[in-house]
Amino acid sequence: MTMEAKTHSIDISALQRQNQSLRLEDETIALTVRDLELFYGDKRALHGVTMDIPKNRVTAFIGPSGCGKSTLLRCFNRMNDLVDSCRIQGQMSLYGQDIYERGVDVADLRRRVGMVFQKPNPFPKSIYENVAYGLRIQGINKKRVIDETVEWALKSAALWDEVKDRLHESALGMSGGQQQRLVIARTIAVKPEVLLLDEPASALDPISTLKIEELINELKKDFTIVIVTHNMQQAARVSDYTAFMYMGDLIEFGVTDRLFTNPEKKQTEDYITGRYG
Amino acid sequence: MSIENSSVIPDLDFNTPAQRRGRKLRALKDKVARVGIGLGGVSVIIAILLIFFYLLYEVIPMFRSAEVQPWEQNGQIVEPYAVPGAGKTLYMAMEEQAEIGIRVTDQGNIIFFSTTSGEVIKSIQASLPVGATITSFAMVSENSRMFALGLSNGQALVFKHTYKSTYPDGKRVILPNIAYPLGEAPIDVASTALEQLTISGSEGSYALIGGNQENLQAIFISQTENMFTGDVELEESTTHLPDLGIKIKKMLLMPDLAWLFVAGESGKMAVVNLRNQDAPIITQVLQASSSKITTFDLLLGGNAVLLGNAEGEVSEWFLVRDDQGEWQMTKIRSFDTGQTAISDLAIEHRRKGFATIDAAGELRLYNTTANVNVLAEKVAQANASMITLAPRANAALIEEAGKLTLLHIDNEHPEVSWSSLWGKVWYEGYEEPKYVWQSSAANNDFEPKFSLMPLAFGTLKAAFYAMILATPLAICGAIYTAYFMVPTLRRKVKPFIELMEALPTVILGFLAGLWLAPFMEENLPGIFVTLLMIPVAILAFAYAWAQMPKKVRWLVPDGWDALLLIPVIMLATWFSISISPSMELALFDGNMRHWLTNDLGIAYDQRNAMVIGIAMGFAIIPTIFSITEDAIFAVPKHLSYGSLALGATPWQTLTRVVIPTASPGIFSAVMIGMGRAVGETMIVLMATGNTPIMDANIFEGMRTLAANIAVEMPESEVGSTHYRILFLAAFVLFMFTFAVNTVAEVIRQRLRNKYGSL
Repeated sequence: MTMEAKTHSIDISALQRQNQSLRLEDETIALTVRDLELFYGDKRALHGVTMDIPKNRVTAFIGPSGCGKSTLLRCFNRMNDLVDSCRIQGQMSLYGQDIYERGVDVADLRRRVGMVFQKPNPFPKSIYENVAYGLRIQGINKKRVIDETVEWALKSAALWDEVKDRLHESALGMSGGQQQRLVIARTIAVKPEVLLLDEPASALDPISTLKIEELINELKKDFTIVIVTHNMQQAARVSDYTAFMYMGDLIEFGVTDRLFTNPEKKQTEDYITGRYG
Repeated sequence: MSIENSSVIPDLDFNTPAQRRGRKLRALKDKVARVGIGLGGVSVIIAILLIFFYLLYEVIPMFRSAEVQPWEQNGQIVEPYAVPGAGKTLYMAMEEQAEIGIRVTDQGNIIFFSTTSGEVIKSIQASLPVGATITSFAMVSENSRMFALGLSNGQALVFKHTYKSTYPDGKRVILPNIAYPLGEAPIDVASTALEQLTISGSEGSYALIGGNQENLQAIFISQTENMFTGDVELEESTTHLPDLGIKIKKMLLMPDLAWLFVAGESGKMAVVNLRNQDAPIITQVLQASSSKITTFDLLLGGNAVLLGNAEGEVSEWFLVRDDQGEWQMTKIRSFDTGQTAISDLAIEHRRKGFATIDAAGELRLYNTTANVNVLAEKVAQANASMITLAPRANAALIEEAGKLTLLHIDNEHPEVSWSSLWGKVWYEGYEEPKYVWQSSAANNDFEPKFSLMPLAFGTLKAAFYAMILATPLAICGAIYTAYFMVPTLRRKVKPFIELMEALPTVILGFLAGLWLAPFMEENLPGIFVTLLMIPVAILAFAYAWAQMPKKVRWLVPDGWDALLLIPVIMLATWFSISISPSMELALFDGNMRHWLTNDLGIAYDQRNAMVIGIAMGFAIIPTIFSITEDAIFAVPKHLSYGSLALGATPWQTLTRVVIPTASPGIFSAVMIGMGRAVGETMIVLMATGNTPIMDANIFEGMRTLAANIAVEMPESEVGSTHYRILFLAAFVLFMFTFAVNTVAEVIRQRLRNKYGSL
């Protein structure tokens, strides 16, 4: 708990200062969502969500459990396709190209829209092979290219110094925080345009969480980042824009600073002041 | 749900007597369960160990060496006693129980005596013609109990010693006697004195060959019984043998009366072909030994010659057909002996074995098939001159310096050696050393062939062909079911395939042997086309399906498309079988089986490895499928999602993440399937033809270790070598499965460490 408090006091003011001058109207839009409805069988999980996600910014989705924020996140790279009874209506596009159009190469879409899951999921391979995996499946086999990319990705994920001497050891021997950064390295190694982070720090200890948050701040220079988090402080610390969702509806979406200090909707205010659970 | 919402905290007491009793009971149950489960686990291990040790207990006696001790009678050691009767011993033997011995002297005395005391029981003087003396001796074979005395007037007397057991006052009394199988009158063999004599033959047909160096004559005698009077009539024909060119020391005639082997001086041996009785031909004169031949005898069955020489070497010889189809007397093997000259050699009555006594008084026991010397022990002084074995090979009489010693021999399993079990052995009548399993035959002087190689080979062959069919099918099926199929369908398919495992293998074997094997023989081209056609049809259909307009494809939801293959497979099979007759006509002259045999020279058995591959493959598919499916399904979803989220296609995810992660499970599935294939009995018993041949040909049958045990165990005599070898086969099978499972487990653990999931 003390660690949490410390983290809080270090970062929040600095991060908030960055947010002050943001305006959604000035941003380049990476992802657009229009009237998106999603059904699990007969149950409607998303009710007509419409939003724009700006490029090279960190957008956070917050909301109570079951509000649909992870479901929405999984729509961006069509991971919901893997759920048996899932059906989608509405429109979603990446730089103007419809994601759900027939004939879209889903595998390529997923390369362009990378995703990091809540629980670290390195493959049972070496650290090196984990990072190289995305390249190998794209048919890149030149050792020099892979070596360079692995090094770049691990450096970008702030992991290089910790693992450079044991690149060929199993990734399963790393700590949870290292594994999660490895997964991030693995994801950015294929140069995605968007990085989806689904509660990336919820299974980690505070120090690892801090490292991941610093990393997110670094990565937004190169990537558009969408992060789902339970932790409102985390959202406030790392994100530029925040979307608050509740029961499948997008309640409010705006610049993080404003949303946290001056929410427009009552539900948002209730949530950020801790009246939900 | 905060604490303020409930106003009353329920009054709970966890320390009432009832609660305490409950906790005690709970602890007791826990303890009982722990002990019970532990006991169960330990008993499984104990049971397996007991099986292991029981098998070992049955097998070990085979590898014990023989023992020899002085004979004990009523707890008293039988001391050597004086040779009963006078004169020089020509022949000595014992009856079945080794209680009565017979000694034939050069004076024509036939003396029956107690082997334990030397007391003479009966003495018969052969009625020699006036003026004639005994000049030679010959024996038909040890187990025939027939011998002949050659006389100085060119005649021979033929005797047989017989024994009759009676039980006056409930006590066994054995009455020895002498019989005259060729009549009591002397038989005229040659015009000169019979310095050399040999006799051989069997029921109804005998031959004597005798004479001296210059004049050697043969007489062939056939007995016919007059149907009306019951009198035996003898028909005789004589022939003159050519000059052998060597100085005759001893002659041996084969029981089929076709070949005569003659030992000459300084190690020479001559072979005479008597097939044409009127014109014998000398086919070979060879240097059989580098030194003087000291013993020259026929082994049990009369097909092989044992030759001992002054250097103490004993070698086995028999006729082998060469490339031109000519019979050549060939040295097969020599036996590991001392460096001392062999004084006498005794042939075992019922096994391919013999005993030697050498000039140093050392008794050695041998088995020819196994090429082993099971015993070497000094039992006599240097001057032992004669040895004979009891019919059961449990006793030996040794004559030395006018004394007889009776020895007890314990030599139960001389036929077994590492080389006879696992090596090539040159069996009598074979053209070259071979691996052969033939444990029994109709005649008693048969050489048992106990090579485990054809059985081990058959086991692996059956398993191999079954695995070839089952492994790809089961693994691919499991991958599809676990990874691509919709859960609703998977829930139906998996139990259904697992149900196949419950099918009794005897039914599979029955179907394979009685329906599939003849069906395959009839539709051979069809079967091959089916095996080729089904994968092609599946791929072609899959390709065509992928080219269909999406509207059509969306009619079948993802993961259900496998069902479309059912009609495709049925159609392909039906098509292949129905074109079979026309293919046979067009390509194979109307019958592929004959074409294989006649044109390609490939032997075809109706019950062959292909039938086994299909039937046993069918039996092991569920095992492999079930474990593989579980292993693939158990790969955590977050791993495959992680791969998919990186832009991998489902196929890439499968081959690069899912299968490596599931590989320990897949590997153990294959190993367990193989273990099952190796140990499977009923299917191979019913559908292999049980021919113990070593041939990888898919169209020929085999006999597996397991099927062999099932086939032969009921007919083997308890405690016999055959019986113990079957236990050895079981032991080998046990060790094989044990080794495969251990290796599989070790590899699986290592793979699991490498690919262990999170």
